[in-house]
Amino acid sequence: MVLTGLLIIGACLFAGHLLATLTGIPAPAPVLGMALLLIVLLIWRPRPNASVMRGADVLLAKMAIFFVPAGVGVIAYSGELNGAPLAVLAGILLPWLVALVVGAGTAAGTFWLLRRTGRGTAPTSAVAGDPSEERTGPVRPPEPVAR
Amino acid sequence: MTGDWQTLTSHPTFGVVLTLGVFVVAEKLWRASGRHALLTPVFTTITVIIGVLLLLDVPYEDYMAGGGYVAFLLAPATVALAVTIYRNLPLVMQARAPIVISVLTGAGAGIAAGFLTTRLLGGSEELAVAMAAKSVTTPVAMALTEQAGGLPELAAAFTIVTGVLGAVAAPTALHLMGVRDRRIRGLAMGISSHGIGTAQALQIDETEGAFSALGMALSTVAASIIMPLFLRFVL
Repeated sequence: MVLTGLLIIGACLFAGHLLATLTGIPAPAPVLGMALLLIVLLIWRPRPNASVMRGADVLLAKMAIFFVPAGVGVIAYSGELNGAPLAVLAGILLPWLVALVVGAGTAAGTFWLLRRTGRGTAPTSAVAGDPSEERTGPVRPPEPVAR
Repeated sequence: MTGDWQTLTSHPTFGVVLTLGVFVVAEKLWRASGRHALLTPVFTTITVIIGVLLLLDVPYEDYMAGGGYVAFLLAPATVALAVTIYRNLPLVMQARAPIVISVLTGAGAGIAAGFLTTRLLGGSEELAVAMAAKSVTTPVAMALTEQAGGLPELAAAFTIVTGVLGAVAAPTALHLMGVRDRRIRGLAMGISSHGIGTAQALQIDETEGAFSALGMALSTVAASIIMPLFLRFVL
């Protein structure tokens, strides 16, 4: 049942809030909740059609929409940026690009090294953004252990 | 007449229906265009809604009466990303080393770039530290919507702009860089463009989304370790 799945996700979020409040870990509660849910999944090993999987799919299907109100809010207060548009623009653009290029570069380098030493796997490649490309299905989770 | 109109637009239904309605159309448009980067739904939706609010002279607070409900769902959706990671577990386990190295170097370089860019543009040391700290809080962007409805701080606003920039430009930038591997593309998007980049990656491919979710979550941890070390080194 999807509702059961949403309940499990909600409980992990609440536990994340609890953890953040009690321990003072600087990570945001949703990220802590995500870590907690992952731990639960690794222990529980639910089947692909389990309630938690279907509940998650409901939330993740159009996740981008949940960012829209915050995005609208940014522009609503963009008047404060008028002082230094160039500095602000560069301050946003450059660190973003550096993180993107360095992150991709070192990941690619490490994958290459792993392949060279024979411990790697073939790249999971496909041309992105190609509309004619059939969406490859999600990799199935490991077989559920017998209970 | 004006009073009736105000009552209508300040009702929560207005914000909810406007957000959902514009997004549905924006997504159809994006798919019809062959997923053109400039038509990335989150970007077009935000732009159109701002236009509508300005045109109808609706204050942001009125929009947020409904928009707040939509924004609230971001927190459970972030938790649900764990399921995407779980589904891609075999791939994730094989890629442990690249994930750790890419997150540490990517987040570290982002912090350094935030500091140096501000200094080079003539910003004070305090501002440079704030900009570096902004790179730290960038992956933490999703936490921001917990207080949605309140006036977002400037640093938080930069974070959102970074994410939208990532959703629009990161897939194209990675394409131009010749990065085809789904795992690498996801990691880079998560590290640089946090939740908004991850949501976009998820629209493109589930494996890309899983690696982006990992990149985003681990960057938060990495940044909280790197930031104090970096500041001790430069100050």
